[in-house]
Amino acid sequence: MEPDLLTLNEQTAKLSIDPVYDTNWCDVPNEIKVRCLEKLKFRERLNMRATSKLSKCQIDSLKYKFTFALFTQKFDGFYKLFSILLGSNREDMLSNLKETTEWMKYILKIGVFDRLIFNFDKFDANVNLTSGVDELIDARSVDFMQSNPDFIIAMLKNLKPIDSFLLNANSNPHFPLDKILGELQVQQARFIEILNLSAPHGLQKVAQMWIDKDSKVGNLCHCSSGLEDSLASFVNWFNNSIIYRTGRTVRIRIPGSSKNILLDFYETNELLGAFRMVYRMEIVLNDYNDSEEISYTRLEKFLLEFRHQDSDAREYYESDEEEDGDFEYNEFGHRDYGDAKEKSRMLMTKMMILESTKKRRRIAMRTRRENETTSLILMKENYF
Amino acid sequence: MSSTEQGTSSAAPAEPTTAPESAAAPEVPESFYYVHGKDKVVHKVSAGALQHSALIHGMISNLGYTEEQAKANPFPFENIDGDILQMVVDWCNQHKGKPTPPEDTNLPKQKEKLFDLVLAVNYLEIKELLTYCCKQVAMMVKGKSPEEIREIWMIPTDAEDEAAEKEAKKRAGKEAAGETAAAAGDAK
Repeated sequence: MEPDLLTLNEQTAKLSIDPVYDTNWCDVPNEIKVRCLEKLKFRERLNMRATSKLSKCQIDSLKYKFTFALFTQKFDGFYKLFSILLGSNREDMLSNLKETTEWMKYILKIGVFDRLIFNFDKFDANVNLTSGVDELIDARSVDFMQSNPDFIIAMLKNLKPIDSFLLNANSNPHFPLDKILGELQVQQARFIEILNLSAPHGLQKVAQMWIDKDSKVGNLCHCSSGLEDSLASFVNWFNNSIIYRTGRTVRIRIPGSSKNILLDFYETNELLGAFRMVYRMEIVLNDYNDSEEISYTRLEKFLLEFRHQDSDAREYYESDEEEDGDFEYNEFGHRDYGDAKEKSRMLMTKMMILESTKKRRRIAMRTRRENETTSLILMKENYF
Repeated sequence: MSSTEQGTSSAAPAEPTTAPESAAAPEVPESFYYVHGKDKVVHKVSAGALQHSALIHGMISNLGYTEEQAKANPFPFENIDGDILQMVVDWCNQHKGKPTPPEDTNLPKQKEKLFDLVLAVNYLEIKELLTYCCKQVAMMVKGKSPEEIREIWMIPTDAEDEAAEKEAKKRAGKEAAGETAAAAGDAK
């Protein structure tokens, strides 16, 4: 035993002949540096990135998990990235379209997103956000609130498989829904939400896509449509496959399969009808218990998050209050910018309409919404 | 551990190597090992505490020896300052056989000590403590500007890096030339 012990001590002594450690960051082994850098929050990473070329390389080689990323243009007409990721005091980095695009590309490259939202109704479609990005974008949920269809398709092609997909068709009757439904990422998404769908036969196209692609059971589509005859159109399309039909519900069978699709026309007002469509293996009495929660909470959450995000914008604008004079804020906390901002606010108006049709539920959900607000504040604190 | 096996063998001589460690562990008196750092001060550490260090645990796991032998031959860690080794030993003792908490507030806040601790802990392969230390290092630059980070972590600028690289190349060139000249002299 003794010789072993002596050998061991000799080995240890040999290991110990390295020089005594210095105490600078530069002397820390690279793997430890990576472990430390991984623990930095996004802002600190950006600051660290600016210290030297080497630090930039190290930071850029790391992924960063974003709970929420909103890419939107500001309401002042300039093409700027305004994201709560960067915070309002990061405006100086985003002085022009080119710079903004580079930042967006960078964030898309290094990010792993729980939820990724694009809101560019005026974004230059020629700007390819995905050029030069050699990896697919990693996002669990992607929302295109106000986006050019070409941009949507280009982005979809550069995404890893997603769980959830939201699309604002913007009440455009010529919206290329077929092209978008043809993308693999949409076909594989468990939850599809389409706002302001005016393209003819939109609902049945989603249903047909599920049938054709033999999609997973449990998939859900939530759709708001301005077409009064959407339900009738759906019934006509699947006329030979109807299992049953009531005033607001249609269930269709899928030929050669035990699967079925249920369409429920669940709310309406003078502008919008809202539909849910669910893909099931068996007929169950209460199809929407879970899915309804998902859809409604999602919509509510977006509104809350948007308000929350806008309160940041408001803080930023308030710092210029003396120069700009007094402004009115609408009920969403948005500053009233006049006609030029009309498009950007249209979405919120539409969502407000949709929200107003759910008064009964809203009352019931009030307590929950307060809880959600709290959780959103916590989420925001986690960003930094 | 070897010491545990030894204890087990005395308690159950019929099956010295197959007795389950976990069942016998509470009855076995704790064994100790000895380590010293740069200052040669010897620290007595229990086998349980040393399990945190994958390096030491790996070195001793296949050896069995008496407490006297271990005392006579402390593990030398000449590259670790005495006070840093003391910190590591204290931490290992405090967290012996306990689940590690999500935060450790006892870690040093001073940059020099923290980096020394990080390096020592990395060398000794103490995974949990390394995680705390890395978190603490990251906290040093929270809310700091690039200039402040550069100052805190003593990160050279690109210009300084280039100058240092040039200097190193020049020195290496001179050394190579010197060696060539010496070799030529020897040949003559």
